Amino acid sequence: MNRETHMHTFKITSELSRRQWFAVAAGGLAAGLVPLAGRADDHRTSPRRTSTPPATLATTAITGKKVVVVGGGMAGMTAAKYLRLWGGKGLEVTLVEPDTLYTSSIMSNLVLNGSRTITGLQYSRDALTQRYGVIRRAGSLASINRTARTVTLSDGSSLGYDRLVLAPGVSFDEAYGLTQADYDTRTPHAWRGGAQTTLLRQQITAMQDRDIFVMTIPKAPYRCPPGPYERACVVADHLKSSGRAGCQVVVLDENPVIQAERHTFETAFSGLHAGVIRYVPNVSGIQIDPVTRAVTYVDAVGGTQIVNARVVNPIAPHRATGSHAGGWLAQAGLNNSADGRWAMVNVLSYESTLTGAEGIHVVGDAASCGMPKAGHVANQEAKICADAIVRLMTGAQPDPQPVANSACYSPITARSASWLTAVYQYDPVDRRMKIANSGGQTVVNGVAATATEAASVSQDNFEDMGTWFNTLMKDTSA
Amino acid sequence: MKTQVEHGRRALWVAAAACAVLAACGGSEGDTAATTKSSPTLSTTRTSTALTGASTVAPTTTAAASTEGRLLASNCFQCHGTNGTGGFDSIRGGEAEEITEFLTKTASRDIMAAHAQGYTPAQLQKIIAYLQQ
Repeated sequence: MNRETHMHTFKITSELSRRQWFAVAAGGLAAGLVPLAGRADDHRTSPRRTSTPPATLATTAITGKKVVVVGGGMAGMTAAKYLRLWGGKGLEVTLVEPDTLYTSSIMSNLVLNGSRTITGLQYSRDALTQRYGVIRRAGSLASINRTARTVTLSDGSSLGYDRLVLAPGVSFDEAYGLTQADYDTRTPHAWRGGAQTTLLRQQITAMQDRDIFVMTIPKAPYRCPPGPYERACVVADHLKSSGRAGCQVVVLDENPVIQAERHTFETAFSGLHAGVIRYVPNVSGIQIDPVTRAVTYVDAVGGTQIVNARVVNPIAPHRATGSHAGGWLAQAGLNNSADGRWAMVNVLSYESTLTGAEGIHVVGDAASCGMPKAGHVANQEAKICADAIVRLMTGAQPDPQPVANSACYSPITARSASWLTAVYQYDPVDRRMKIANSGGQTVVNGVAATATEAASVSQDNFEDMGTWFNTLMKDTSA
Repeated sequence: MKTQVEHGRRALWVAAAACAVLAACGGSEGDTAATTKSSPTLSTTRTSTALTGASTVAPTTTAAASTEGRLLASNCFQCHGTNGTGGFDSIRGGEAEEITEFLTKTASRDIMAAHAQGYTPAQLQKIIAYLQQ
């Protein structure tokens, strides 16, 4: 078969189906979209089309190169896709991931009020294979041999690489006197979309009049800076709108102030959700009894306080997956932040800064790069990394001035939302990504630029949130 | 360098006009159609995509698409679809220029304004040029 000729056909069919998919998504199907295989771009009218026609990969000089991507979340999926899209067919990409489906953490707060389900937040990775030719391996990473440039998987098999992209995400501490079993069965953090999210939903559903919901927020950096405050709003709104009387949402924050969208959340806490949400900053010494659900903490002035909760939702402190003592990331020395929790990277390429770790890149929430840990950001980090790898493999240097961006929408009620956005420019002095505005400036009138939050909460924002989420997931996984 | 930018700007206006017509005809076949019609006006800064370009572009171009501005433009893809062909709206071809309309809007009242204002003028021009390929 003449591949060159047929690729032209594929290109056109691909564009058609993509546009039709978006037409459906934009037409209001967004909220109920179940994004598994057989999605809306699954056209079977022509026998020449498959459900996921191959994408047009770039033509580059790369031949016989191998990249292994570890972790199939927002960063890992994006990296695998764009390495193929931009690197071409001479760049073999293998994605290592144990789970069959990806469960989105984005939007999972809307599982808590029954607006969405966890099943509805699950995504197939099949399009990465069918459209982009990504090889997928079911498994987890066991170890890295930096010298031999091989990784060993949990089943004992090995894979060789020219470059390794680690996108392992975060793991959660057994903090506040709780064990992993407690988090899984009694006091869920639900900070990764999945079974704990469903458990927390069930616990909220069982709440009665005057019950107290306590959530705790770990010291930054944690995943999704506005997420905890968004959750407080969604739960408070749900408790009120479901007719329960006198319920409280107590937010115990280890940070001194609200960490994102401060204006939006301060306004919501003191206005829309006043009398329900009680926000307590500067908390320390949190201890939780998983059986009685008594929460003890030390307040900002050193007083010990106790809250008897019906539901406890402790968002445990997190760290890069594998960075604990004896973990695979730690054994490779890649958790080289001062506190040993994160991987330090060169943000021009996301290559590790560790001497002797050349060719190993870390993207997404496991990396420390000056940007928030969030899915939209992870997507762009992965693109910067993929672009850098393609450049390096063709004898060029990474883009010396990369730009990344963050956008997110936060529901404030079951029907309204706010948003937060920032563009990040590379600072060659600090070698970190920094927020820019006013024409790409990181410092404006002597003051560091800050992220922009929506002036108001609205239903329009809520609807835009569906479009944003669907488009982000498609850019990441399909 | 400066000369090239100035040249590119003038050319973009021509390209924008050409693409606007295509869009009005339902021609957002996107990259394929837009590239075919508008690439001659921007031949100094752009080439066509490899596979579609073989039969459509000026003889001086190589087989490879220009990757100038590609990484910058990929910041748009989370909300406007991979290669800018969907999501909130298509930003390919003539529609790429619309980003400049957001530079004078209030950032906190328009997420796209907040976003557009995070780029330098030169970066915006690179993004537009890439999306108009």
